[in-house]
Amino acid sequence: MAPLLSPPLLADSVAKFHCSSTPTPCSGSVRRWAITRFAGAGRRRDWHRRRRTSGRGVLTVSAVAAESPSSGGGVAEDYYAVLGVMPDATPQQIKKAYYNCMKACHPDLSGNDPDVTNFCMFINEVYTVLTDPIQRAVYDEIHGYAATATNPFFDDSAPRDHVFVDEFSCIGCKNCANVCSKVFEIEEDFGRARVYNQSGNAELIQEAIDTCPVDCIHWTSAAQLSLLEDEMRRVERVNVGLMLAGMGSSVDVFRMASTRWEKRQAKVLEKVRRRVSQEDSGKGSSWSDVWGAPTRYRKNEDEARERAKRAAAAARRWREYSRKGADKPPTFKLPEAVSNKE
Amino acid sequence: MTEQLYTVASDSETTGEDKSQMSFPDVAIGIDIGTSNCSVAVWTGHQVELLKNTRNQKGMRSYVMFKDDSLSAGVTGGATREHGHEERDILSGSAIFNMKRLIGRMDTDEVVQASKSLPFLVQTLGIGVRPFIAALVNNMWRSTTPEEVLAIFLLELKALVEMHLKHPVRNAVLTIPVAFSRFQQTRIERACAMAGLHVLRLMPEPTAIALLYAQQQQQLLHDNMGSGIEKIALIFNMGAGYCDAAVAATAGGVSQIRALSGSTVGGEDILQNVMRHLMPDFDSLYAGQTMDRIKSIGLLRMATQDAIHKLATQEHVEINVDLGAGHKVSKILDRGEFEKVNQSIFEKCEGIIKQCLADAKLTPEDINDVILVGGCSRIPKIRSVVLGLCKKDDSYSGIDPLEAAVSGAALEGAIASGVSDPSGSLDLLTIQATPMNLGIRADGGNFAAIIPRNTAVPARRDMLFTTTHDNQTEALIAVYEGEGNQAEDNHLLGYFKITGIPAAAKGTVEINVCMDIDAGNVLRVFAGVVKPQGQAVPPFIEVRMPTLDDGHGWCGQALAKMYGSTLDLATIPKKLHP
Repeated sequence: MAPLLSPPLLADSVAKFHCSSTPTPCSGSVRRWAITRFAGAGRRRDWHRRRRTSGRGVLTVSAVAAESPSSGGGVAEDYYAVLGVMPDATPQQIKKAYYNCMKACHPDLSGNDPDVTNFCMFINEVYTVLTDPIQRAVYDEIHGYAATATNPFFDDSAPRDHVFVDEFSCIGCKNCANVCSKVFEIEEDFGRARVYNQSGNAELIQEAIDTCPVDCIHWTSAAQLSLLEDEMRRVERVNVGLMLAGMGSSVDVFRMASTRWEKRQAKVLEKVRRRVSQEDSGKGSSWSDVWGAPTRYRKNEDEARERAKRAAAAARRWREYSRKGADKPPTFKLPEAVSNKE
Repeated sequence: MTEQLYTVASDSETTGEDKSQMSFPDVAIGIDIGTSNCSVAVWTGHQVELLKNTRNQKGMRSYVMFKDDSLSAGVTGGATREHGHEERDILSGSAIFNMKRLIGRMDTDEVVQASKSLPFLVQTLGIGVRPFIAALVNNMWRSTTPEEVLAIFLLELKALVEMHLKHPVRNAVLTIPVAFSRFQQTRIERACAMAGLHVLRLMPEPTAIALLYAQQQQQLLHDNMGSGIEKIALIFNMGAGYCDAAVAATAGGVSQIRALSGSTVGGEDILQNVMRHLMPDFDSLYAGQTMDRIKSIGLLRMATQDAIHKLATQEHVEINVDLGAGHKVSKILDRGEFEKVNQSIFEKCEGIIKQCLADAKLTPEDINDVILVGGCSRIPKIRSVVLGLCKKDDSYSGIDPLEAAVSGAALEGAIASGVSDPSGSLDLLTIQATPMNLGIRADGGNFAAIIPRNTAVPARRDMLFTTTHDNQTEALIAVYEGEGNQAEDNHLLGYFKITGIPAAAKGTVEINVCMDIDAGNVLRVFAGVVKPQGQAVPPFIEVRMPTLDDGHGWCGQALAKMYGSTLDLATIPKKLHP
């Protein structure tokens, strides 16, 4: 995976800030110590600024991000990483992490910056998903954090009623945007097509798929779309003109998303296997009843489908939020909340 | 941050900033204007201090006296005179009180109807407009509004605070009941603007109390060096005008409101129930707003208040009062009779607590502490109802019932003003929740909730709608707030039209309605057509709510009658916008 070349993002900063306090095996001790020291420096400076500017201080984690320019490995992988917890976190750990995040980005403490308020709304949404046991089970199932889950890319039972543009194959010919402009648009950053609205005329979408010269538009299920949006958030791209000139690498985003899903489930299975061998079933973990999880929400098929769609919608929104640090912000359909400066 | 609705010329504007050792110049004060009593507090640098008036009182009466062409509010209680205002004077018709119960209400409201038995003049027409209110001045009824009365009161309060702090005061955090609609909140903000105060935050009273509770738990941790376990508190607040309930979870200084519930009953309703019970034929004996009636109401009211206070510690109380003109009340009222007369009020209190626990998905065993605040928390029946529902023997004792809300408001004022304390006393955060559903009218007369109750603030939610007629080019967006399933059961906040919808078969065009609540509790509604194929559409419309000023009962019915069918929208079932 190519590292992001854009400046560090709010989501990454929050995840980085809290990963330093939550011990993770992949973090080196030197980096953890360095991040902690920078966090301390940023916090001291932030207090002075806050007092001087009458409470309009900047976000603490922004100072942290400014202090550590390297962004390798700092991208938040999933909702758990946004809050800074491991996927097997207990509800108590999730709540504690949520409180810490809110202290960092709640407008009461960080002023009324619109970006901070928007991110605070996003954190609230993430927390809502992870604290609802059914919603969290759906999320774990989609992202591979459940031992008995099926890889959505090999699951033929889910209806493929969502549409996705493989932007690495797209040449920006604008055909789909002309055929079905309600659904497809040409995004501004790289000159490629992207789906902006999943509610559209299925026949026109099918026509756009049929007439695409490079076959880069695909029908997907809601779960697949969640994973694909996550993958697109991580992978760096080049402008379509440069790609046509031979630069940049071609990637298979479907295979990458599927491989990542398999890796996540492998981690879960490894933990379950280790836990069974250690016979430490008394430990507090949300995976203690991992075998029973799928049956809980499968009782209602319609509700499960609805929650999967919500997860897909949240993944798209997160992708938009995580681009806040990019050179050009994406065009939202709705205007941002306007801050009322005195 | 709430923007100011008015520009108010004030002497304090021209005063240069005065440095003070007592507090930070920019810190917001906390104000708790109760229906019967009010208090004000400020962060002094290491703790919250309640300010006293010139009569050395922390709790001050909430009224304004209009006697003899001079205005004097309950802040000073007429301290400039040789003798302060007596209870008899307040009940003489020359004083306006219960402003908090009357502000922002229509004359069809049962609270306004009940207020017609108060000494000052309350007239209603029953058509959904604001009631007519007047005070007796020099034997004439002089009209006023609850907002004016509140503004006069706030002016004196502001002067009192500035006298203590010795520098101008600009920002304030006010506590409001959970049941306050956005319309009433706007009225409060307008009264504050008239008094030269900018409302930094409007806090539901249980939320303010939860913040104080979070601070106390934080200090316990500092003292005991214990681990930061989570505590869940049920907060019940019943004052003279409203009763509220909330479930708050606190850990590490963060106070998260899990559920809010409120009702418009309070001590005033209990008082009037007992008065009606003592003298059922009062209205027939005294017809019209005569001087005899005003005097008799005052006498009966004072006797009843005294009796209710005594019933908190006694099993029965003797009432003897001579109303004049040969009418007397002589009766022994016992506690059982008192509870029977107010049975419906206690049932409402029980209802909001049950709703709070259900919304938070908690059982009584999950509650760690029960916090009872407000003047009515001293009523034994109230205590037994609340503690019984939560299966507790005792309530939390670390919070003063009358000072909790204003202390929490002052804490929030310090936090939102950016004050930091080296000792960590202000390392706090409140995650507020919306008390009511917010949505629009759709599918005929139904209410489509876009932001549901108890959503964490700040919040933004959107929902897709579609047309109900072929070639429909306009749609009416009528924004409502409340708990009813029908739109007209709720409060109408405002309305606007979406124009320029592309002509198409019904159900094909998609209209997005998004609602956004920021940390200052400002509600904005964005609505517009989702981009159709190959056609240009007008820009989205952004409207800050509420927009209505008066007559929203009328306005809602007129909108439904004129545009309910032609400009209606339908919800798009089970289809999500990613």
